[in-house]
Amino acid sequence: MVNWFRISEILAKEAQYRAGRRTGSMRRLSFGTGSLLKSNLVTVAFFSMFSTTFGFMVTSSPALGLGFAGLMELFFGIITTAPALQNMVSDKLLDPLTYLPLNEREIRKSLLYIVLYWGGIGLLFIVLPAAVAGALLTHNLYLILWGSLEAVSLLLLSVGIGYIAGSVSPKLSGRPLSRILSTLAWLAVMSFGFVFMAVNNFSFSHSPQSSLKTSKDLLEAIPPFSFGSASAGSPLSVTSSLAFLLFSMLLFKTGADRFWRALSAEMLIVKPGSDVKLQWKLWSGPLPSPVFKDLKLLIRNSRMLASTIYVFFIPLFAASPFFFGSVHKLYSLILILMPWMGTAVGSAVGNLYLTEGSDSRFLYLLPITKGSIVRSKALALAVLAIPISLMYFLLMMDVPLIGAKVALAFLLSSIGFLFLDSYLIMMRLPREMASWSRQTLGQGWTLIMLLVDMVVAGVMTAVSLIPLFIRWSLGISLPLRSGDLLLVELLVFSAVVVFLTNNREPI
Amino acid sequence: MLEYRNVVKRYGGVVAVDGISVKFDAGRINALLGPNGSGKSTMMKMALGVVRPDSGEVLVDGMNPISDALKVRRVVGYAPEEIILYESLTLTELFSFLREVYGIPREEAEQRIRFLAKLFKMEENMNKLIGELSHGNKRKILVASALFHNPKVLILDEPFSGLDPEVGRVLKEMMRKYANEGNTVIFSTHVLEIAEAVADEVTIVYKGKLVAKGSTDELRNKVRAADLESIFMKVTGLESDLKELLDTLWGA
Repeated sequence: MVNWFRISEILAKEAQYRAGRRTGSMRRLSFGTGSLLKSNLVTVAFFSMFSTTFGFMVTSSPALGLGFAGLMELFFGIITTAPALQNMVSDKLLDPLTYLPLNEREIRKSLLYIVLYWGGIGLLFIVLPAAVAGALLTHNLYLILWGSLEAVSLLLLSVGIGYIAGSVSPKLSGRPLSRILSTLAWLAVMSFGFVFMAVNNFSFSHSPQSSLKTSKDLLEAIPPFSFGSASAGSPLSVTSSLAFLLFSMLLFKTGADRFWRALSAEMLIVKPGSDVKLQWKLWSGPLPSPVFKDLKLLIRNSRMLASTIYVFFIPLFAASPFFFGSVHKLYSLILILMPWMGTAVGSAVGNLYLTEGSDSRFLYLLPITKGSIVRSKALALAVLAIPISLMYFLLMMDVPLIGAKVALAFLLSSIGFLFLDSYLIMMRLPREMASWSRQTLGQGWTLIMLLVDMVVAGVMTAVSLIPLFIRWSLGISLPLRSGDLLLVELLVFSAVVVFLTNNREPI
Repeated sequence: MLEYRNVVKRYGGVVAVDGISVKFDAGRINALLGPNGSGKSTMMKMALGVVRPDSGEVLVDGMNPISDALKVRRVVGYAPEEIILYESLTLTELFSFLREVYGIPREEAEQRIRFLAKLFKMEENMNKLIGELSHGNKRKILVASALFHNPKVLILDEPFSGLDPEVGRVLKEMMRKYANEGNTVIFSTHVLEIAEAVADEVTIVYKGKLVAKGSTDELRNKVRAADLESIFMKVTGLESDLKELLDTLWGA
């Protein structure tokens, strides 16, 4: 009789092997003989050190100390479990087992064990050391009890969310509404860092004393912040925390059931649709079909779409302080930032190559040039850059000329870096179709792309600062200001890159 | 017409194609046969320029697939054995993409798609994601994609794998029609009955070498064997291996 530990071992080894093939790293497999704790040793050590710092925060505010630690646990829990579980579903790792006479209960137990093996136990140590340190420093031993309950609740919650995300995402591509929800879910996970900023602002930045008190009271009733306050015996916090524990357990159960159904071979068989549309029409929009194809592939991959949207909006957030008050008069400074914003946007083109993945071997069968591949990928994202550049214009519309210059600079910078990065990645594609492997789009190209982008952006920024430097050192004002010079640079850069990347060789 | 002139291809230390010289004439259906790993797929991919020969030359309609890759890919239709398709596109989206790549006028493309969709019974699947379809349906899409631009040279690697009998029959007739129109048709299969029934000419490769070429009748007379299976076993030298395996099975 095969036990669930053995099934876990097989699944974990297979999952690790496939993950290794994807990233190009083939780490030695250590799974199989050790305990759960042994498998989590590194994460336990790392998170314990990290968590102790929250312990000091607990002494001044148990709610904030344990609350922030809890948010970290939730964040790490979701980002580690959701993609790993999604890969299990998309790779149909369980399929070979479903044809064997194995007990369902054992397979389900094995799946739980795998999640713990991938760092599940380690996650508990983001909160536990903080609670213990806080308890020792404040002589309040209830902190350990409530900290433990919080750690377990958040582990169940994050794994539950991971199960749901993992089971839903791979099958979504046909349904637009589900796809939108999935993309929003991934965006929420990626934007988790902003939750810390929001909580921080909420709890500290209210100036009138009365409102500060109200905010803190409210926060202490909201999990995971409520667990810290529950240690002081606040009835509202105790009720809220216990309700949260119950909710986490239910979500975990729902997620595990759902994941199991998605993973079972029977669920993966696509049932014939009831409404068959016999009408079809070839694409006739303004975009060329290859660009349309790349956009479609991206749109149907929620995780990659969320990652792309996120990357597009980061520069906008970074520049946001300049849009308000009188700071926008420093438009030269905003313009000087544009090459760096372009590097962020340009790097997103990698998502299109990753989305296409091994299907890009299909391109080798067609009469397609390398330049056309570079172009279709870059233009697909340039299309998305247009509304963002309009947002820049609208945000700086009180001085329309400045708004137009900033919007144009963003667009030119985006186009330039999209073409440049697309070209750098395309050059990594092998000469022969048979040589294509998961390692083709490994992490090497990201580093090369980053270095090249930084050098190009750095040179452009340095050149644009020349008028400023001359005025500062020699007192001579040149007719062209730094911002305007940068705009010219971006125009030349994008035109040159678009021209030079038009490689006419066949893939 | 497709011609291989003393072609050699190695993968590391393994010789996949070992000095093969062979010509596939237009207007005929050619079956390329051989056990697994004998070099069939490598030969087929060379015709498209996606695998480069280490030495020797491949000519497609007089063009070199390496130096004239774009031109060659316009005249070759190739369906690989492995399912390589964009699974998150619908069939309509895939053909929209192919139409632009091959530069086929819209009306002509639509007419062609209607024709292929009817023949391969894909009309109900036009708006479905390819990833949602069965293996057999994906195989049909690969074959339809290879035929979409009306190629002069049609190369199909294991095209009958996963096809239902009705569509399989249509494909056989389609290959015949295509060859009769003066095009070159090459296909590989492990089902020797299909090769015997469909092919005008059979080419057998073994361990990267050409071991037999001719019509089934010609080979039958030459090798003195009753059917294609016996011919295959004799020319590849697998006859004694087979006997040993069968003896093991039946306990002789």
